[in-house]
Amino acid sequence: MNMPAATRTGDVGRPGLTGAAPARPLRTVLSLAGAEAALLLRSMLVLAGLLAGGAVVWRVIWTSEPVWWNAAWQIGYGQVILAASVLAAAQLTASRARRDGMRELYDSFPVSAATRTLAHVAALAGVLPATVLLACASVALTQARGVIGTPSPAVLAAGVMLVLAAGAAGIALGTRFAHPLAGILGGMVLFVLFTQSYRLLAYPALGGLPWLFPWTIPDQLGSLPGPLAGYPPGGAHALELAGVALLAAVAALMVTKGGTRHRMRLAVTAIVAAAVIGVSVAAQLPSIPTAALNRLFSAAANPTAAQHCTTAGQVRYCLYPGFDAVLPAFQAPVSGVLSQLPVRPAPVLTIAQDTSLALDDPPLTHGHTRAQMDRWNAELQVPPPSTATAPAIYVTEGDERAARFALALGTAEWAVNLPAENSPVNPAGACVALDQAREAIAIWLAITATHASLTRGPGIQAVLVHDTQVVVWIYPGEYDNYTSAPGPQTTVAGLLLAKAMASLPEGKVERVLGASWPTWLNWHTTDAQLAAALGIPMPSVPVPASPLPPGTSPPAQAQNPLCT
Amino acid sequence: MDEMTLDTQTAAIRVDGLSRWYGATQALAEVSLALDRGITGLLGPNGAGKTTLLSVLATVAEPDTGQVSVFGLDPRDRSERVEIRRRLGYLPQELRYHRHFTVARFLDYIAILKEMTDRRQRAEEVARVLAATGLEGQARKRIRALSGGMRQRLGIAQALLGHPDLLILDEPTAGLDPEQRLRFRELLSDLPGDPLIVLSTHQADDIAAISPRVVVLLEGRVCFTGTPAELAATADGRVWASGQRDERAHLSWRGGDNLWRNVGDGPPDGAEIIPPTVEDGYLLLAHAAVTR
Amino acid sequence: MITIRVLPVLARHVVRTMPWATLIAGCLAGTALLVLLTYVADRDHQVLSPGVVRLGFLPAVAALAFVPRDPLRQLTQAAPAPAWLTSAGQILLAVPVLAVTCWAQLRLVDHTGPQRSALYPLLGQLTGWCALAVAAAACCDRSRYADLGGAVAAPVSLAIIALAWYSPGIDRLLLTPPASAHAETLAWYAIAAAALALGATALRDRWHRYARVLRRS
Repeated sequence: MNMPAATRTGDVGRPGLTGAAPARPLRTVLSLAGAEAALLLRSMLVLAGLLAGGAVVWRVIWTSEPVWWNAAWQIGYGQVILAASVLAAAQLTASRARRDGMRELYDSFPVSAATRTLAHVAALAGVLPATVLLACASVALTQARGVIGTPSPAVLAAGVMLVLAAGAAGIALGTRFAHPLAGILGGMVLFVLFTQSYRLLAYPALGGLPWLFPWTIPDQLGSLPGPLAGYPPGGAHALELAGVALLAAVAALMVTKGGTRHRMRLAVTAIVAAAVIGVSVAAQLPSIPTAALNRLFSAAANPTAAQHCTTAGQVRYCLYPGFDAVLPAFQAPVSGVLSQLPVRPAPVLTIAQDTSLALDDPPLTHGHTRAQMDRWNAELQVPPPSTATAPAIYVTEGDERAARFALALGTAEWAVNLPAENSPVNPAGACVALDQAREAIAIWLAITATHASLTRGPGIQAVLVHDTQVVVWIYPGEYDNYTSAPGPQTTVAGLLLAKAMASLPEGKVERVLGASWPTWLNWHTTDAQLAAALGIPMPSVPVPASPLPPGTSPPAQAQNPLCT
Repeated sequence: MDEMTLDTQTAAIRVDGLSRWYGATQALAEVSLALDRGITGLLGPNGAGKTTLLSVLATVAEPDTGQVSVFGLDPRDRSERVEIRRRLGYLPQELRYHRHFTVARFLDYIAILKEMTDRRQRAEEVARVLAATGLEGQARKRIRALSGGMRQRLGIAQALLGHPDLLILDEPTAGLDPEQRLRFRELLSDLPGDPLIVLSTHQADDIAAISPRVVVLLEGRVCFTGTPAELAATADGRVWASGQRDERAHLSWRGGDNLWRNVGDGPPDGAEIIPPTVEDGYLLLAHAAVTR
Repeated sequence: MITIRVLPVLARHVVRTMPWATLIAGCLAGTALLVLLTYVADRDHQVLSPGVVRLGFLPAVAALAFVPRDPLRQLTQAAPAPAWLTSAGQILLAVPVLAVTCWAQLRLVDHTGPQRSALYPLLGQLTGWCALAVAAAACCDRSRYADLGGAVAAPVSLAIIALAWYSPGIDRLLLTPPASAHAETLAWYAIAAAALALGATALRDRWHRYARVLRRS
């Protein structure tokens, strides 16, 4: 093999060297970075992090109603997992020479430790495919879920930047600590900072500081009725993470020996990195403009004014702009209930979205005066309207699909004249439709409309109605507050009767109900009468175990009113 | 100061008054050497300073005192030090590896560290050293799956990358079987470009077979510089055979012919004097250094 | 018999070769994290649940994965004294360190306010985690990744813990709610026992395979 000769100084009388001319440093860095990037991408840690990150995104996106202004940030949760594993893998890469006892050999090579470290940092490009794949796959998954809005490229880019910044931190760690535990602890610190970031939300004085964390879990991002410009501050956060990555690279290179020029370059780079971080911090901390928050809280406090409404089959569906895709989720259970009614009630039922926005969210509301906050608070305290002549069921935004049963039950309870909580008819809170046939009918309507199996009951508890212990049933989603102002407390007796009704041959219940519908809606008509009309025995109701010894009186307990 | 045997002005490697301490232990004491192209064998017992000397020549360790010049370049100057490293192939004594690397990937990686940035050139070079060390069939194997001898050959292979002008090999034949040791001699003899090779070993017969020049290092000092024949000649008349162990000998062992080989200062009258080997010369020097 | 003779003499070397720095670094890292969380909770008058100790204990579990590795296994396996003695001894030495760490972290959490939930399910869970780390380390030490040691065992054990925590279905057995406190405790101690059995198997002399074949023939 003939290789070009090279001249050497001080090499008296020797033929030219059979080797290439010294390579330019940049080419060496790129060649080494390419080799390291291939290793990094094939690292089991990175692959495991990618899989785990994907699993996290799947779990988060699939269990909630995705809106892009929340989902894009939630995709970052998966990137946090990938970032933690990349941090550990990068630390192992940077410490490999020392850990494997190759330091002495490496010191004999013309490529310096600084060049090798620079190549390690450049090799982080090798994890770009992994993090971009995670982001793209997450976007595809979210789109498949049926998401509202459009994704924010800045937020998605911030997630990618997080992985690169974590990798750079891992390189910095590896140049100082060769023990593999250092990388694992570094990954854990990142993970814990992420999972515990919500604790900072309890400190109003911190304002927007939680955004400066590598990644946070924001409080109400998913509850916003629409996108809020610059919230979360994805672009600025991506810039912050870029600055952190640069600073970590400087920290890694500081360990390596070098001359004055090397030190100068590092100092300049550190200053640039600090400046980038400073600018990004300044961009993330300002408060959201008052006008934008005015619109937001107004839309939350008075939803129907901000929503577009469509009427179909005597039901008015009101949705925030952009939420049209949610309409089928509303229509299915509501139509399912109404189609079974022998007689439709006269008033038009409104099904509307609602938000559960609150003011104690420092990253959202920081920087505004006390007076302004009080105005917004007063606005949010007023519940959305619902009357007997203009009945409305409000479904919490983000829970539209999960609220299927709750919505069906709410519709059915309206259809059978059961009063909602805190309604003008029932201002004292949730009443109990004790031994009222209409309650069983409402539950039956909800079961058949949604085909709910209800095999695993969330639980039962005992309440007092007119000094009588009544066993009530906690239906799926009742404690999740899918609907604001839900209906009465449902009794176990009503549930059991409804389940028995659902197992009857098709058409039988409809015929019985249709024969004298107004009678069944009367609150005096009992479960026993309904059971007798249907020809089924009255189910026996389980008695909840008393925690008190026999003969002991229970402590004083609030009474629940009877629904009338 | 020890005697220098070559013209120090033109020698490729010049070492002048080199000393190195590890804490209170002096590993090298005022070592002066001049080495030129060809193979120089470095002999010495454990702790003699061989590895220290080699690591200084490989620009891995800094001397505490003295001067070193390699191809006219001063390793104290950073750019010249890098230049030396460009012409250097080094095999440390205890080389651990990135065990999860495959053989080919490891060599490719080392080639990049030797500034071979052209991929095709690198691939050709890796193939060349694999063939030279008989490791072609192991290219895709992970290093952790290699035997000790193969790993040693891999260490030699990485040192050969880039056609170095200077090869520094610390115990290169450790772990090699007899055939591999012979192939190693063949390899060194066939190296193109006639590089300067400094190798340390405990195997005196390796030195005798391939090194035109031997340096014996004892307790951090150069005790002998010359040809293997000259080293063997230092034991002239001081090696004899006998039917049983001779207590006057410094060292005595029974050979395959059932006769005792004795090495010492005073053979008895009438003793059957046998021709000395390089090993005998080295043993006598080592004994002299210990009893000094 | 040889085990009993060797034990007292070996104890000193086991103590000396124990990776104290690694284990203590992991324990301290987790405790420092918990100190920070306690400080934040204190300022906000929040009561931290004992479950937060899980977060603080994870670094200790990761560090434990570096303990059972015997760098001289190639030599100890050829010695008459059982090779598992050193690893087993070091695991036993780690137990009080981990216990003290757990106790300190629970005290920190207690400091924030009265605790409402029972401690024994949490202790069972942490015991299970530690046993999983030991098993992962012992299996790794026997595999071709032995030279990487805890660098492989620690992420593997953390991954298994994460799987147990987040897998749908498994959480019904291992988390309260929906499992009861008793059920959770029993499940985790069963996991710990199984993991320790696996670890013990991994630490065994490799000759047993050949001995079994010999008996059969």
